[in-house]
Amino acid sequence: MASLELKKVEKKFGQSHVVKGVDLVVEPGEFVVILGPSGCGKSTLLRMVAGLEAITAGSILINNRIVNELEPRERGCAMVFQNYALYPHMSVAENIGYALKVAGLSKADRDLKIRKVAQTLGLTEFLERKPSQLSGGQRQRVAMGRAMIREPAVFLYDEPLSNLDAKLRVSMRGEIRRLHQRLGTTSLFVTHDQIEAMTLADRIVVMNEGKIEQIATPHEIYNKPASLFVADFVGSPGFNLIEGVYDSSQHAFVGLGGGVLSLDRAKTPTTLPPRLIIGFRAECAVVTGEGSDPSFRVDYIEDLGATKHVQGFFDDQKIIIAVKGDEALPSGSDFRLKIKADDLHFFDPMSGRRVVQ
Amino acid sequence: MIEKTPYLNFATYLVLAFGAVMVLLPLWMVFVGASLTVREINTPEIHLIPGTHFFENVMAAWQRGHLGGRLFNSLVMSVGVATGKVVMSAITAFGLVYFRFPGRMLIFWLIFITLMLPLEVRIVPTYAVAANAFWPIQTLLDVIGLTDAVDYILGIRIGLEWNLLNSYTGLILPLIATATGTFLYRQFFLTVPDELLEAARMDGAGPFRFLAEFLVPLSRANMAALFTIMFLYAWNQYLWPLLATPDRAHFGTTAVVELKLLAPTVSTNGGGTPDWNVAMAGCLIVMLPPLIVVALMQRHFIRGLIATEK
Repeated sequence: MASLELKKVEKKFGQSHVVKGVDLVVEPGEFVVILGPSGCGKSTLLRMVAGLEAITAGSILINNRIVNELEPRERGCAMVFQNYALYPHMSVAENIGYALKVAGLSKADRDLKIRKVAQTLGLTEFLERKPSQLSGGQRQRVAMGRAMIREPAVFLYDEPLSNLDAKLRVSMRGEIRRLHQRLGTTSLFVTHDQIEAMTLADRIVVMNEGKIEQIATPHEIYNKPASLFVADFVGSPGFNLIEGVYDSSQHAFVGLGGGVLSLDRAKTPTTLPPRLIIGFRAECAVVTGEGSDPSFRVDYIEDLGATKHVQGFFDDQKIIIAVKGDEALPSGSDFRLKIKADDLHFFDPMSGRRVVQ
Repeated sequence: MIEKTPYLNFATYLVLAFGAVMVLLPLWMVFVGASLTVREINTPEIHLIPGTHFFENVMAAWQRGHLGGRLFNSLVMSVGVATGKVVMSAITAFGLVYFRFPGRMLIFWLIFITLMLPLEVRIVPTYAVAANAFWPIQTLLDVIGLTDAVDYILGIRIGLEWNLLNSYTGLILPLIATATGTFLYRQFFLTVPDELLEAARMDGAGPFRFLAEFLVPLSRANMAALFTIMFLYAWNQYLWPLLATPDRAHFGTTAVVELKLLAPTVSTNGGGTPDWNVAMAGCLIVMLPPLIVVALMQRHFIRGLIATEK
């Protein structure tokens, strides 16, 4: 098990600044997922760790050793590629054993290890086949086997599940998680799929435009987003974000449309900026018929069976509320919204960051 | 063809059959010619039915044209050119596609320019170089005055000479130096996905391992195609072997050049009746090796094309 550390890592491609100073510490044996929209620099970051991309500035340490100038093979990383990148002219066994062949292991030793890895991944009966004769899931497994056999210090995954169909993706996700629990290898996994990130990660790194927005456990990312970007990016349906101002005289939030939301003095940050964005998750709001809470007008309803997503307006701003499947909310009708003080999040619209309690 | 209509099919076959006859008829006439006697072939009518003297004529052609030795020369030259070309193209294209170095584009364009300079255009300088491969260096030394300087100081006159005429090296080298194969390989290397290279790098393969264990096996079909084309190209060369092998008595020449000498003219047969039948038989013999190469390699590179998966 190895530790991985990134210190102020930067990457420029000519004029474009792709990675803007990333600091990250991955503990030995930890499974860290880098989550972000396409073009946020997450793949570039991974490729810099792998050694496939030169580092413009900063340093990368594996087991406390700076690896900036080392060749990929000397870094002790193994990588699983998005499109598998299997060697088309080699059999499954040769694919898996290639790294050992390059390392100069004898054929007998190689075969022994290949058998072991193939058994772990359920590939024993396919060892003599060529990659073109395998299904998507099997190819994925071969790619994993190729990485596993080297017993690397760090596993790197570059969106390895995005080429699979939805069902296979779920089962491969499970296999990766199980494999990690068994091998305990330090892993860095890049994806744009938040479900993958939430289910696989010990900790998630959310990236946007070359910078880290938040590093936290999936639970914390979901329940305590550190920025507007994280709040909006993670979770489906997304965060409800309402712009307005803070009225200190009556200790209330006043939306741009004039809707008032009184705040619990004990559970709100002591210093709030004058301009404010409040946010809450769709499932955190309760719809009631009466009371003095802010009004909510139902626009239309998406029925998902177990839950209903109610699209509507609060204070002329579009929001979405998740309710139980059996609740009846006719469109056009007005209701009151009840949101627990604990579920309200405050963001500064200028910096986009969370206002700390 | 997507449409399937009987008329169209019929028309297609008709065109194909016509083409086949156009190609095969002259070959048939060569074969018929090679099986006739001198008297028969010199009658005015066109013969379409083979005679009975085929093996006689073949033997005569073989002996008179020294075809054993000539075919060996041709074979060495063609295999040499084809192999050299495949190796050199693969290496140059590998360098151009996979390495970033200063002057890469300059080298690329220099190679590109040679496409516009086939052997026939640069035959005179090529001959001069083949006559003395050190001639360019010697000229350079003369021009910058080094020859004179050394002569003055040491009293030794530098005279570099390496004659390539009447040698396999001289026959082969000038034909290897062309750009077509480099481009074929370059185009192929550009289609190899980057991830393959990256995965190989992660597995620890260096550049030469990648060339030997990835690019070479993956480009087997290309190699077969290029080898076949270059073999035929070299086999059919006439002008260069004619110039590069002046010493007929000792080194001999290639089979194709020898064919010309088999053709009856006043000088070759002393004004007797022209024995075209023997010349035709010689033709058939010389045609055979390229035919075998195409037959063998075609199967190989078509299999290569089918087996390629993306």
